[in-house]
Amino acid sequence: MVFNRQPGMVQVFAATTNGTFGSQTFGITTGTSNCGASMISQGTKNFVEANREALAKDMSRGQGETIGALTWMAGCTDSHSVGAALQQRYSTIIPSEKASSQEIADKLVETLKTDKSLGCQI
Amino acid sequence: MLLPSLLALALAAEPALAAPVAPPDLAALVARAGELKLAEDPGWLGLGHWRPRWLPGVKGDPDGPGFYLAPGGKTDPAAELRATLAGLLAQPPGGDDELTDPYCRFPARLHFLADRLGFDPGSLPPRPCARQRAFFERVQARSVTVVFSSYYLNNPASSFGHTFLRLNKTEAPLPGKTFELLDYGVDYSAQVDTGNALVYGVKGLFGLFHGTYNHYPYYYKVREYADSESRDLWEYDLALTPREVAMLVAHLWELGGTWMDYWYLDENCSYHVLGALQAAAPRLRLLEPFAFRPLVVPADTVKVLFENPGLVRAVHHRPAIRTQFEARAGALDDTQADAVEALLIDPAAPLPPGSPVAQAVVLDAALDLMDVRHARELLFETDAALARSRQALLRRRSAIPVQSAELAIAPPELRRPEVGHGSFRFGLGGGLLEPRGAPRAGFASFDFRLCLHDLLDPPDGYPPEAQVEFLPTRLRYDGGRRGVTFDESHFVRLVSLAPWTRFDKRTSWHVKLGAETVRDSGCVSCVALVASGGAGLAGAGFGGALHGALFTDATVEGAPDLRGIGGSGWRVGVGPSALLRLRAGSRAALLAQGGWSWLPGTPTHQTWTLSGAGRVHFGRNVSLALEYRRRPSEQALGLALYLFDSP
Repeated sequence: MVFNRQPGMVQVFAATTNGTFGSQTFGITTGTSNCGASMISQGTKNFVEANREALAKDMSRGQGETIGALTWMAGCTDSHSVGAALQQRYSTIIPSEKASSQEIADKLVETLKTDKSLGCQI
Repeated sequence: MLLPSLLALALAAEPALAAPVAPPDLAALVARAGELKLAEDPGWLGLGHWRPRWLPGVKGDPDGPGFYLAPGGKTDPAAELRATLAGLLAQPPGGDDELTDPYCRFPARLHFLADRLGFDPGSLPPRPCARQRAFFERVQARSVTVVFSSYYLNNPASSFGHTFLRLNKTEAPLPGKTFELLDYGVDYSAQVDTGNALVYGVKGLFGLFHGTYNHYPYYYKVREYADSESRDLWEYDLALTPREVAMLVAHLWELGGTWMDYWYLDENCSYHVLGALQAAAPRLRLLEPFAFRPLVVPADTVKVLFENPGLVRAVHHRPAIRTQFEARAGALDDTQADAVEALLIDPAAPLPPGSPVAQAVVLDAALDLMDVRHARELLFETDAALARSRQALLRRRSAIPVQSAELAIAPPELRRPEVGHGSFRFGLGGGLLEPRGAPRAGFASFDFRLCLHDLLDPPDGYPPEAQVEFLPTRLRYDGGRRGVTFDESHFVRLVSLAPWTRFDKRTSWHVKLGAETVRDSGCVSCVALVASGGAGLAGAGFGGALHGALFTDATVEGAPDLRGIGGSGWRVGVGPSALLRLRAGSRAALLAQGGWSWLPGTPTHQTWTLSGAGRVHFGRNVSLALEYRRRPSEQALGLALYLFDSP
């Protein structure tokens, strides 16, 4: 797998959020080399979960580092238009402070998929 | 498949030093390694983390099982080299656990030995090493950055700063820092198993925690340090060759499978970050300056990077959330600032009339301020009303169809940890002493401090409003009594000033723990154990040149000869104290301090202290001081020269 702008969410988050190396004898986690649909959803969910406060703020501002990261993960054309789209749909994506990270992640992916003008490749 | 192939390519790129030997024969390789004295090679010593010790010979740092293949490998690099070669050349052990196979467990050793002994790793029986490969694919390292997380006084483990590595997926940072969040941070940290500060301190000082290497997406680190703890991050991009980057990743894989005793003072996060780099790039001089040093201070490890010419190729600053807010607040006028405060109380509060852009600016500042003030409550979701307010504010901001401009914050170059004075300080001084009821006499003083910084030290590279000292100690030769006496020594002495502003309303505080000679009628120059602390308010003015603070303090002192409460050797003091500091840039500083304590139930009734000091700095490692101190039983006036030193 070559690191480059390429179709699909990149498997940056492949399953490891507990920090341990695979060479540890406990907490064994390994990534897989598949960039399947579940990976996209899982990757976004991990990202949303960890960056939730910053992401919500960047979305409301239509600008910020987490928007840049999402743009790249989803292979979209540019973060400026992604920022505008997410700002506009803020209330749809995060309708309440009680929304779960999974719900937010699902709606994020849906937004990026649906808006063809963003050129995302997921 | 990129990284394994990158690894193979990069590792093969270096010309072999000996003619290829294929197929490898164990006896021949062992003989060849002996001829080359490979077991004494810095590269091999680095990979095994062996280092000289006080006793003859070397000792390896890793303490977990399985890191050394040879019995006694921890102290015998040659035996370990033979055992590693034997393990690599043996038939794969089979079974599900690839980690029992040295071929999968020790990729960096394999490539080091293959390179130096001139055999082809491809000539060994192939095995998939799925977990190792998954790790390489996950981090996809193309370059390496050392990250310094600034001083954080509210957590004893972070008071001296912290360093960790970032494995970058790009060769150089791309515009907008877009991708960094998705890179991997690798740290070495103690597996802390206690919430008790005292137990933590003891276990940390005496190597009773296990330290392990861990890797996390960088965004976890940014959220933790820059957002939750509001610490600026300094990022040092390293000029490593592709082969060194690949060796680092391979070696981190080796280290990830073991643990070491974690020593808070020397074998700590920063030491082992350097250790991993040293193993991957033996040409560098990273660990040697710290040999036999009792303390490894994170800022000193950054300085050592710079002592390797050309190693740091770029430095970046990642502002913490507080720094971001301050930049936003600095651009507001009074009406807007009032509106920011109102929004924190009521997210529906009216915005000052103005363009959508001007309104967005106010909301942006309010959002950052909320996160500065309530980072923890928001992160741990402990306050439902707060979360509701924040969501309301976010929706309000998103309804203004203006995309915020990227916040441009000039890196505060004078805060870079590597420009600071040396972490170790010693001082020589002398002057006049006037004990109460005795003739005036001369004195000489000798000071040393293991680390790090006080309110009067040269300011560059350190937080302007903090004092962090570990083992500051002063001995005094008293001309009148003709003897060396112990003046004071503290285990720690901390001061945190947080100037009260309209947006930042935090408590300032100070604590110290140690032993001091009592200079009042409580006893005749006895040495008492002292624990003291205070909380209060601070203010700043003249662009940060002037700081003042008022505290309410409590002190406990104990000594066998001390005339304490009810005839005991213990007394408790309560009372106010104050300080005033004036700084003239990086050149000079003045500090006046005073305090009074009521000592209930003791014959002494009360005690007090008054002091004034001025220092002039010559460069960053020399200061000349004039110091006056007055206590109930003596006053002293002296001159002192302070010298700072780093490894």
